Amino acid sequence: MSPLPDAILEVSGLARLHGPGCGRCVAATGPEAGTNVCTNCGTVVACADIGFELMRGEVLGVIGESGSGKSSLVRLLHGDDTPTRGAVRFRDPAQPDAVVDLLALDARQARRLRNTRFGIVYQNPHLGLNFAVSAGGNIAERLLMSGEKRYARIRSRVAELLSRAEVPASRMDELPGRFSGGMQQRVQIARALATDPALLFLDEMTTGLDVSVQARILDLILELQHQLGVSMIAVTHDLGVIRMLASRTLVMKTGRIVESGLTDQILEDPQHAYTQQLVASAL
Amino acid sequence: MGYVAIKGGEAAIREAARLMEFLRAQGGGAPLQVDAIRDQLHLLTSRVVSEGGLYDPDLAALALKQAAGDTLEAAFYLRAFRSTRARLAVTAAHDGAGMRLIRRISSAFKEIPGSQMLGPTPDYLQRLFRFDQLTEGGDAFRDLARNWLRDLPGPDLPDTFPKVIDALRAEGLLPPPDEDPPPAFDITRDPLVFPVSRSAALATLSRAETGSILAIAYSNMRGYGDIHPTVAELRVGYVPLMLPHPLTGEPIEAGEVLVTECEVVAMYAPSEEAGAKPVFSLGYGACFGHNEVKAISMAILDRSLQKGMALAPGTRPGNPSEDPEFVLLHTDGVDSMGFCTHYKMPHYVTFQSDMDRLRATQAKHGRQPATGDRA
Amino acid sequence: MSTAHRSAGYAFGFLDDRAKKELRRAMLKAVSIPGYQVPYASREMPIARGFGTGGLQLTLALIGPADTLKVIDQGADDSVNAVNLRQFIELTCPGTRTTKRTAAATLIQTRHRIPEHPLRADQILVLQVPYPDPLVVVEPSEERRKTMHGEADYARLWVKLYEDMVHFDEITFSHRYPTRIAGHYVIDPSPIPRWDVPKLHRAECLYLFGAGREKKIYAVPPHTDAEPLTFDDVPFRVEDFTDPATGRRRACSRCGATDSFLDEFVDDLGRKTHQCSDTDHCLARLDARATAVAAAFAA
Repeated sequence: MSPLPDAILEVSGLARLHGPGCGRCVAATGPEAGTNVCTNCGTVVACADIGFELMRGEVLGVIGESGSGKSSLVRLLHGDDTPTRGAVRFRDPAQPDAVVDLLALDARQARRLRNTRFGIVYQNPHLGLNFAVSAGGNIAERLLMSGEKRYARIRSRVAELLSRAEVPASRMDELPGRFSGGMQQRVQIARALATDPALLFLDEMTTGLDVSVQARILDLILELQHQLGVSMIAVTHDLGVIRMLASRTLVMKTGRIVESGLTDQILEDPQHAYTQQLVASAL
Repeated sequence: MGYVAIKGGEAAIREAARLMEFLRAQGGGAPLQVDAIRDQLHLLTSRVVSEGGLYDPDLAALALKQAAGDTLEAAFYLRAFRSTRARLAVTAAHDGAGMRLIRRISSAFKEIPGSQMLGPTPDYLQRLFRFDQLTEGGDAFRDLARNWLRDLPGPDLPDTFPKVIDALRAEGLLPPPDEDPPPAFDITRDPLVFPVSRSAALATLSRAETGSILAIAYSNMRGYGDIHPTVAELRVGYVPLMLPHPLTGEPIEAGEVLVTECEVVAMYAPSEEAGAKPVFSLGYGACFGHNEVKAISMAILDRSLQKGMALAPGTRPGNPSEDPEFVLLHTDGVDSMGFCTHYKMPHYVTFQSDMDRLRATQAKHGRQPATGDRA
Repeated sequence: MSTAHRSAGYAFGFLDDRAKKELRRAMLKAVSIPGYQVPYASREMPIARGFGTGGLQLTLALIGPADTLKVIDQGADDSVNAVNLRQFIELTCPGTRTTKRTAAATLIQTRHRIPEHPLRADQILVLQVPYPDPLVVVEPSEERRKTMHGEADYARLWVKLYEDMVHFDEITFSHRYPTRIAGHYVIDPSPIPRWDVPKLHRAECLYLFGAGREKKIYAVPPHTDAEPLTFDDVPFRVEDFTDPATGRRRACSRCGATDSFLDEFVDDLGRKTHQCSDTDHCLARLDARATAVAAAFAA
């Protein structure tokens, strides 16, 4: 099965289990069981039965409380972790005829793809940035990984990327630790976009920031998405982020997708009891 | 003008060796006999056979004599000698139960099957000078051994003693031993390529420099990853050296080797394996010679390294004592002492290179701002 | 204490034969995978770790009675460590000849320098290595570094070069300059000055690197690409011996060479002076000059 022509990512049957596994783990966990720990063998089912498509230029929201498996999902898709089973197919808009099976790549190929075609912004800037290296150096790393070896060109491109993320280029040689939290996220965004990626992962990108800073960063993301047409998967527990960014949303609970659809529809007319509770509690 | 002063080393090396000899002899004392070092400085000799990784107390004593008492250097003589010897046979693993004990204690229990045996230990001595030893005479010295042997009661010691940890295992307080342990890792024939097995770690620790592993084990004791150790059993004694007979292949006793062995029991950690029954865990230490501090330190590090080895790939251990690379690559006396010493060698070519870089950077420093966009 | 083995002499090449065989296998692997650090069970030598035990083990595993050996340290044959190593090899390899002339040697063990005169296809240069892994400046864990090498993931090393340029407008690696071999593995070429790095590129001879304490062997085979890491628009620069006062290249105060790596020191009168670091190179030039002068007088 190959992805739909307009799909950039097709995920099917994805699961990640931590523990010995007993064959009953998936049946014994999930929203109905109310737990993601297998009662039989103690295995933690971080996520299971995950399937969806991401269209070209689309922003897909993934919402759920902590422990719902949404961050595990991002880690699996970005290649920070290896799934227990399942399939992830990637059709790069730059090479629409080639469908890449992400899980069949060797470590070197996976790293190359991640470095050049994906980008990620973490909630914790310490995960996304090396604090011992200048802000510009963090962005330069992505350019260097993609094979750019002209120093002057790297300098000008770093300045351009920081300006686009609304960080003054004059601060490019400062260490990230000297920046505010919002500014650190902007540096992460500039780093993520350095190689013109086809796919961007946003993992609780604005959690913990002031509301006004949050709003400006979401504006920036929307604007960049509009300019660049990059597909995005935005993981959050914040309905406001979903409402602003995502056209379509997956709702996750105890490692499973319990509901999916157009964001407006999910927010206005939630079907699953959990989603109803989530929406009600936010109002 | 003449050529560079540092060079022309042949004569200098020869004279340095002569000076070392002079220092040894200048006081006019009697030359140390190797058997005197071996017997009267037996703990020093023990340390050297252990760190040298070669059980030969005579050669260890000779090494101490040649090295003027430097334990790092003396262990080094044994190691270098070892490199010249082919391996003739490999002994089977010894479980320690058949050890001919000279000392055996447990701090976990008041009394243990086979009973505690204090043996030769300075643990309960008052460290006060015995000034009479300044003028100790030969006759009185010889009487020491003669009188002790005369007062010795008849031999009533059993051949084997049960191990304390076997009792703990029988009660289910310790996990059972590995039924089918993998073959021992041979650090003298295979390099450490991380991640390494526990066997490789144990072999490395067994030859490690005492002070080095004590320091890291002590950091664990003080709270940088406390495993809460209790000494289940500490044994000092002789294990028989069983070698296959060259013709029949049957194991025959070819001698015996003094070893120190220690088992520490560590407090159970509930989170380490989800769903499993909580049990104590074991740290093991063993080395050639009579080296109690080393064996205990090794047992503590064995336990803390097991914790580090169980971490998911990519997870950094929380404490130095749990990091296999940190512990195993920095505690070998021959490696660390040698590398430290090498800094005394000339480094003027690299220093020339360093100066070139510093001068170039200094030259630019005056002309340009230290930071800023120069794209 | 007097048993036979305690008074017996040592075997040719000190090490037992199986150890030598293992070393040769590791060397073959190193040559087959240029730049890859082959782990091996480094033996303890009677010379301290850090004094060239890695190089010494390679030399002892390679040397035969027909070889002619040269040992250098900082470019000189008569510096203390070179003398010590050469004496040890002479003692344990009876019949082997030693020389101070680069051209006459079949096997050269060296610390911190590559001879000035290009080596031939029938010569092997064994380099002593304190730190085999160039990634150690950005990653302390050997296990992680191994993965990084496997994936040719050198981005963090490149970032180090970038940061150097940002802060100093210069790459600050003075020696041990990271060098990419055959387009994949980046090696630490041992503490040779940058001056010597271009000599690794497509050479006639075999370069072997031995790290005794760190227990690794690697190689740059003949005719293999060796490229120092640098940006396309920031040239790799070797040590500069220009005299800022005159703007001219400094010369060796002995032989007058202006094309060699120079040692800098202060003479008895407090003047800064320079001489060839490669003593054989310097002596060969002096000899050639003496011969030319003698010929001129004879003529």
